[in-house]
Amino acid sequence: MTYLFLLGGLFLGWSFGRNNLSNVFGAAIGTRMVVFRTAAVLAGIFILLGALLSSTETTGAVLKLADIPSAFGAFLISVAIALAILFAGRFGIPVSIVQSSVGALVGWNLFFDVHNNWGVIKEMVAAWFYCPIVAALLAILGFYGVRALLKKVKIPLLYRDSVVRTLLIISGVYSAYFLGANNMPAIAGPYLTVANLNPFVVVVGVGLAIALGALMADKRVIETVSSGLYPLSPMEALVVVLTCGLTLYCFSGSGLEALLTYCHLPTFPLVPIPTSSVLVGSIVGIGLAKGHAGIHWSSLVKVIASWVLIPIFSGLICWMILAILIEGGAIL
Amino acid sequence: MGKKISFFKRAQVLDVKFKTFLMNITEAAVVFCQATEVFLKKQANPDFMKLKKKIQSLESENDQLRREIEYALYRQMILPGMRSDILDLMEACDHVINQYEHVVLMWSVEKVKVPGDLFKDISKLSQVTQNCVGILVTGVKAFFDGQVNVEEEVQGCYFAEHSVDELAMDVKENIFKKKMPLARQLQLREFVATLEKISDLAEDAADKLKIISVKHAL
Repeated sequence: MTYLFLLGGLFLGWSFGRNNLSNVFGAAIGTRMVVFRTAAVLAGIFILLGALLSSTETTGAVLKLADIPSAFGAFLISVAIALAILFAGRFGIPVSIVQSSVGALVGWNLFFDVHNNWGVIKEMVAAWFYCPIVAALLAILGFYGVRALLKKVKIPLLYRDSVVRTLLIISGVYSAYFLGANNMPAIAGPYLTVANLNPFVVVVGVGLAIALGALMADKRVIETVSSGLYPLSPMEALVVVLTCGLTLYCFSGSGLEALLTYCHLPTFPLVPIPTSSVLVGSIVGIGLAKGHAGIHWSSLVKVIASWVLIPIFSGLICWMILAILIEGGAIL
Repeated sequence: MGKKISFFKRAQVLDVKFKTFLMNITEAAVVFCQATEVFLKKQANPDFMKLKKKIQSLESENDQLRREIEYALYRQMILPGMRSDILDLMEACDHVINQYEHVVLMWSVEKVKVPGDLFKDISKLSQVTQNCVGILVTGVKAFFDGQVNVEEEVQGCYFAEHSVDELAMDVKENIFKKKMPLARQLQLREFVATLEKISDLAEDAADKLKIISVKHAL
């Protein structure tokens, strides 16, 4: 019976995969450099690998947010998060599970009048705001770097196409790995605190659901990513995908943290970050590097508004679900 | 090494086709210059017909190549973001070789008799046209070879086209200064106009090259 409640996590994982394929391979699919099915299969496999092998650093931050006493409670949180994501997908808005997850956990804590760990929340929210800036800066650097390289090294157009296609797949796989590492705790987190659930089964189950979700990805979101914000060329798409992977690595890799600490430099907090924000940041970075003439500001405003609205929305859903169930006499 | 070859195999095959397509245009321009010399001196004699056949075969080969490249670009999803622009550019280049074929066909059918004092000017017109087409092909080739800025080649093509226009105008003035029947004057004017159109088409292709290089510059 306890494992039956894992269905909520699986549904959330499926919803995550459906929405987040666009964050790692959207630009590559949108520019028609990578076939949808190839991208979906690779993303599914590498998100799962990232979640299994490298997600421990960011898990801690999520576990500090809420202590869910039962599998049923985790199930309700998952449903609230998933509903918020599906709502965003309906409007073609790329939204992150991290924001929905934090919103739902805060909603849970507020309902039960449990003390919210505002220190962690502040750290996470701050990261939401500066991760797109980091992504934009990396994208601008990447854009000028690639442009300078292409001016120095003449690569024939057709060979360049083969190289860019291969690099898009490699960088997409790299991004998918760190997406799994960074975001898995936000999906499976509520279940990981439940005592009678095996964490390995939770992570593998959710990982497989993500892979299935990626195969059934939302094409409208991919369209928003590829041309809604800024029309990308294949080379720009490569910079975007690579930037996403690097930014996710900055907020997930303890190796980089150790290196920065060793060099007496400020470190990045190891918290789950919204990949949609990273993606938007890198696309806007490319647009700014090119003179921002082609940026569709209205799409950008819609995406930024979702950053504020989605956590509130998922928190409200969680609160309402709990209110209805508790009123109905349910025991969590 | 084997793996390296197979990694770029599709690109290599298509690159050879692109290069052959462009080389055929250059060759057609050279053959056309020879055909002009022969036609001016000996009209549509067997030597001219041989050169005409050569131009026709180059044009037909380019049509085939263009179709193969078009099919490969779409079937193998190569250069997805710019393939329509590339095909537009190729079509514009194809118009140039089509015009070469059209001119030699017209000469072989109409057998226009060109007055001897115009030989030098028409021969020069043919050479400057060849130069214009040659610069265009160099620019297109440079673009395919990854050169970001093709402005120099585009400007060279514009300059050569302008020279052809000026030369053609001089020849037309000379034609209408001559005492000959109006019908012949008009026929000679058309003779020069069809030749002049080659560089106009090369200029159109250069326009497309300029746009494509700006549009797809990173």
